[in-house]
Amino acid sequence: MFEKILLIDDDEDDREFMLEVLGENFPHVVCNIAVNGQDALDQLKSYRPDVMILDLNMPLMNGRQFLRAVNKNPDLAGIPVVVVSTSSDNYTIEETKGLGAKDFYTKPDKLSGWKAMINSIFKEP
Amino acid sequence: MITGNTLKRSFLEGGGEMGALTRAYDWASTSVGPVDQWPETLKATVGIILRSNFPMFLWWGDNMIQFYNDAYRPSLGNEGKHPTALGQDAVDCWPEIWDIIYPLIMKVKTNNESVYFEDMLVPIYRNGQIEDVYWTFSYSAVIGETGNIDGVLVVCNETTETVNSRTLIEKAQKRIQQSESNLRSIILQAPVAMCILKGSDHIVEIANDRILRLWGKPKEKMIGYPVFNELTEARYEGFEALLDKVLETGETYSAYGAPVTLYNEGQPQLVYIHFVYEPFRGEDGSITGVMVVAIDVTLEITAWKKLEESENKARNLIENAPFPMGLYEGREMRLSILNQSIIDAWGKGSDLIGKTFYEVLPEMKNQGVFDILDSVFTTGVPYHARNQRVDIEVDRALRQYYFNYSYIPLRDSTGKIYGVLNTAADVTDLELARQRVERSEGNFRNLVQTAPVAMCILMGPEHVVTVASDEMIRLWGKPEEQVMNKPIFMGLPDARGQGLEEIIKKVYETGELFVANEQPVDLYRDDKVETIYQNFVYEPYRDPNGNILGVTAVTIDVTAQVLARQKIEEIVKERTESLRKTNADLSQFAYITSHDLQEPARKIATFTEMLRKSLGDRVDPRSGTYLDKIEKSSTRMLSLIRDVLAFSTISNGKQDFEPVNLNEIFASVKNDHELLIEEKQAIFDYPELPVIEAIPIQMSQLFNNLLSNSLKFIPRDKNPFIRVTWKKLNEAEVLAEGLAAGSGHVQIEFSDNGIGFSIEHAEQIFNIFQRLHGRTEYEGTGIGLAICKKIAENHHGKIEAISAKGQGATFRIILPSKQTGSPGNM
Repeated sequence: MFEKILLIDDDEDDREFMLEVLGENFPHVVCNIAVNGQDALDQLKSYRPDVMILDLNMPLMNGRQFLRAVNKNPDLAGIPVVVVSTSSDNYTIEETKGLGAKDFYTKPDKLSGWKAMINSIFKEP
Repeated sequence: MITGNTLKRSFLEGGGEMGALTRAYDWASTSVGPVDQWPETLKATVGIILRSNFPMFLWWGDNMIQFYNDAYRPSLGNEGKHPTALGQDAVDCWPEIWDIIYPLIMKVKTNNESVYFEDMLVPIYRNGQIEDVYWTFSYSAVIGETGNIDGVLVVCNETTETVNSRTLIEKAQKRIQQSESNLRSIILQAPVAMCILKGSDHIVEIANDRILRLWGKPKEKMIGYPVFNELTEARYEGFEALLDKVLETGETYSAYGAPVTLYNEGQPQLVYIHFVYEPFRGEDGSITGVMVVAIDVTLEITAWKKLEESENKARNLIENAPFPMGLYEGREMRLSILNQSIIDAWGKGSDLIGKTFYEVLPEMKNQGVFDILDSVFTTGVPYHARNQRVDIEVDRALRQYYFNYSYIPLRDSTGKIYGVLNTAADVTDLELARQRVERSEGNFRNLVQTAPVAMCILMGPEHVVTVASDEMIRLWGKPEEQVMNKPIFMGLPDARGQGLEEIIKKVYETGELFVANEQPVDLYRDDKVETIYQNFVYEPYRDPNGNILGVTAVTIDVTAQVLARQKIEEIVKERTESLRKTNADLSQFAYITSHDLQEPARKIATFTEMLRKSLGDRVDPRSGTYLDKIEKSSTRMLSLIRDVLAFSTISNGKQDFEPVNLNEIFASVKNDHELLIEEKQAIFDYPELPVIEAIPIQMSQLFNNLLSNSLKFIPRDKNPFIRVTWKKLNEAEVLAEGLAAGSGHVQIEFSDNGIGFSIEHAEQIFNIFQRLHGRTEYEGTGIGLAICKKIAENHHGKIEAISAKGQGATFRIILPSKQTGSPGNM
């Protein structure tokens, strides 16, 4: 069971959906917020999450650049990254998995979808 | 007295004529004196003489008075000494032979010697002439009473006849001997082979060197031996029988050119001889042998046979020749051999042999043929004519023929010309055809020259320009005199080295047509190199026999068209590129738009949910209805956006084909619709599906859309029945579908028992956003089948729908099982 999450997403609305579902269903989970890749890398110097939930389209450092940066840093290599994006095309899925993403989810359009997604992420060993 | 006289005269009695003459003779007037005074010896002797039948004669006394008897009488002939000789003195009687007989008489009278002569020639005068008379006689003494020799008794026999005949015989014998000797000499020296064979054994009595040479045997083996001892072969060749027959019948046998085998130095040799077997008769006329005269004519016969053979050959040759042939002999050109062909060619009837050429074909005279024939015969120079016009009179009208013919002098073995061999070929048809061809060739050349297209004829291996149309000259851009009647690449050097030499050469050599379209040729025209484009046809130019004489070239200058097309192609290419870019931009736009539209739509949906949640019980029924409508709208908006997104990404080329097991795809799609399938209690019927090369996600989309349609468009009171079948298509079937064959296409049919659609909508339903039903009746974006169509086409296949309203729908999908290119539109 994950206890510490780093949610990396520039979209405030999506962060709200995520936190809403987490707060309601997984109250014990600590969720730190980063608004882009660079922000995440900065925080990771002092914070080690159990899992990172990563958006792709972000300013300053997008999700792909972030994944490449993580790959180059052996300290971060052990932390699983799950991509959650609006995109759902195969090319993007394959691309991010190739960059080391553990899983890929399309952002749901229902709260139940968010809940199911988090359950699914947490279910993973 | 009478008695006494009778008695006394009795010694004179009888004796025939001479007896009477003697008795009547007046002996008293002679020195003998009267009869009664005769001495006894005389009486006795005369008595003996007169009565003897043997010729006897007596000289008596010193005067040698003569007595003779009848037997002697013929010796004196008819008109001669008889009867005067009786009582005559010897010397008076025989003056002509006195020289001969006096010495003999004297021998008897003086020496008492008897003289005897046989066949002594004592010519006497009788029968009016001196005759050679032969006598066998004896003179003997008659001794008187006194003991003196008183008389000479001549007992004689005229042997003239005997002697004469003996002389004749001797002469004959001499002559025979002479002639035999001559014969031998003749035989031995004869310029022909001769021999004489004697007796039934045919013993060689004489043979000359020639016959010995002919026999090929030494003289010593032949002379004195039966001829066939050595000539064993000849015996069995019938010569012995011939000889026997000549011996038997005495008939001469002659043969000409008889073959006979003779051994020469042990080698059998066939020789030919003329020979004569002549019976050879002895002195008595009986046939004793055969004289053989032979002439070795082997050389002649062989030569003759050869001649005959060669003549036969010539005859055979002529008679069997498939073309007109004839042999004319002598200066008068007598027709000696003609074959049917020449007889037919002349048309002068068939009974021509033995007539002369001049008789049979008088119309040739004015055509110079007689002179030619005579010249050939005289000079021995053969004459050959080709395509020579010869007018022959047939049915009293001169007809025009053309012949190839030869007059060849024929020489005998001595080299003397004895005739002319005429061979001919009736080439009238050919010649007329040639003339027609010539005319039509003329027409053709004319046609070429005035043709409104560029045309030319290149003759021979040098490709000499013999005819060229004005258009061609203009195309070449050279003065006419620079190109005409010259090899094309000499007059047109700038056309060299562009592959044309090889092409024209090949057409000329192989006879293969060469066609080229829009061939660029660089020509130097108006002081600059211009590329012109030509459609051209190079065709072999043949004579009537099909021999290639040259090449005809027909050229159409398509430079303007080619340039125009190139311009158009350029424009099309530009437009296509621009269109492609527009399409890509559009696709990109659709992607970005739909992608970016998703977020607000998704957020509207989620926030609506959160609003409802946060309002809780405070939502009045009217607000609740509005919230429902917002949720539905946003959900539908999302569906639309996602479908458009899916549609726009199908052919983005970012995915590759890979083997796809359609069973797995279909199972997974079924699984995704599990709830609906259960709810509608759908029934499936499908076989094991194939594995094909495809994009897996698109196959999923395809089956997903089809299945979803089938589950959607079903009346509420009906259970869906979905059947999938498939088969492989053969190439013809693939081609009939308008697809490229060769990739092992499969056809999958997906049918249901739903509401179906009218057949007129069968194509429409694949258009994007096309809906046949109200949204409230059946949900959907109207993109699903458009996606299916795009997927099928992206896989180089096709999809079509078959249905009738209320009859359910069938979707027929054809896909290649192997993909050769990359995904894309057809």
